[in-house]
Amino acid sequence: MLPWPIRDPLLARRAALAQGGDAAAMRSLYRELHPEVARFVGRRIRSSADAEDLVSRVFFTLVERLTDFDPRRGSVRAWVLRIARNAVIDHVRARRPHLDVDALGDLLPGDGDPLRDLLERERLGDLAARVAELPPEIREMLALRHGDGLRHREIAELLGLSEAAVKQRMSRALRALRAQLQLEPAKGAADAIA
Amino acid sequence: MLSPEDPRAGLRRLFHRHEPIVGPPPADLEDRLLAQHRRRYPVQARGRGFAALLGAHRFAAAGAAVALVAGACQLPAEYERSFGVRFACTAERAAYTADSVPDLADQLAAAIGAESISLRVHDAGGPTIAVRIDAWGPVEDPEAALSAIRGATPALRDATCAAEPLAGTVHGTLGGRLGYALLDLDIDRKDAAITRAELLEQLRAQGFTGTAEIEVEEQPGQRRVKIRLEQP
Repeated sequence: MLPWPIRDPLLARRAALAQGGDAAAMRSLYRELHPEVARFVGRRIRSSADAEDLVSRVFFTLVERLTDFDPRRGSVRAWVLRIARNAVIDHVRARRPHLDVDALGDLLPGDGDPLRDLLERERLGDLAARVAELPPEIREMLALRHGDGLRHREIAELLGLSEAAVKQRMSRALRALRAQLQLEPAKGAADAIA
Repeated sequence: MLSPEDPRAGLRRLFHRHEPIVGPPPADLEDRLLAQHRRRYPVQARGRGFAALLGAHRFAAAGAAVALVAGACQLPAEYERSFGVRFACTAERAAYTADSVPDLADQLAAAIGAESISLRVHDAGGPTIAVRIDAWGPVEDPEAALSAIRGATPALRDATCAAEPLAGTVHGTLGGRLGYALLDLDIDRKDAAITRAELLEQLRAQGFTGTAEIEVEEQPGQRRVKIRLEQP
């Protein structure tokens, strides 16, 4: 797979061709973006049937709004993930369950060393509890960065913020997390790993 | 091991705990999307292809039918085809250092957006250097690509550049020649079902609205593609 700095202009060119009716370009866009969109949605929606339905909806919206895409305003990836994010938000609002980002209590599979596993789980549970206490917009930024692997610029495009603001808020959040983790475990962490 | 000093590794594990299993893009969704795409963005008339062929020859009177049989597709044939664009530039030597070639390649790849790029810099020690950029793949507008190159690569901002098509004679097969000349398709190497599906899609994408019957027959040493079009 090409690195994003090269993929961005390629995808933008395919989007431009697809806007002109090029079916092959549209097919390439779909095949290239589907895994990214499916992972983005799947990380946030547990039900695979619902996730599949949402992914379809995202791509139909993409086709309908293809002419809205403007490469001067950002990358194709950020644009399509914004569509996906809105679809997820609409879905969650309609059904009112919690976003998976909030479900932070599961255990990780261990690597065979019981003591090491226990320490890892404790630390992860502690981190999970700390993250759960952060404001939702910061949690979402962290999920987009560390879960979806988006660049700061793409997170900014997706959330409608400046890149500098995203960098500043995330840096502040990481500093705060680091400081908290070096102190005693968060309240509730023991429950989270129990 | 998670480190309290750097929570980023922990965050990555945290947000990847429920990593979904993602399969290949579903083909049925692709079909539905392409159908919707065809309806929303009909293809404008193109200079070549079956729509132009039908329009030019007026085969398509009511109820008329045209049958094209591309038999013996594996027969050797030669044909010209375009592969991309070559940009030949002459730049001031002062604007270039040998160390800057990787950066130059990155800047060009981002600026042109071609499928792949070959870059050759010839430095004979004189006041100028020659830079040859071969952009492989479809480049929609060479002049716009040249502007993008100048904008993205400081070493070529004031260079004298000329664009010329990268074209050549293909020593291929009759199937390849027909596929390229008429349908932008390589009909030699794919299996029959894919060939049939792609032919149908291309015909629709080029504005053909009639009915099409496509038969692909595999025979030892040759492939027979029979296309029957009816335009109401």
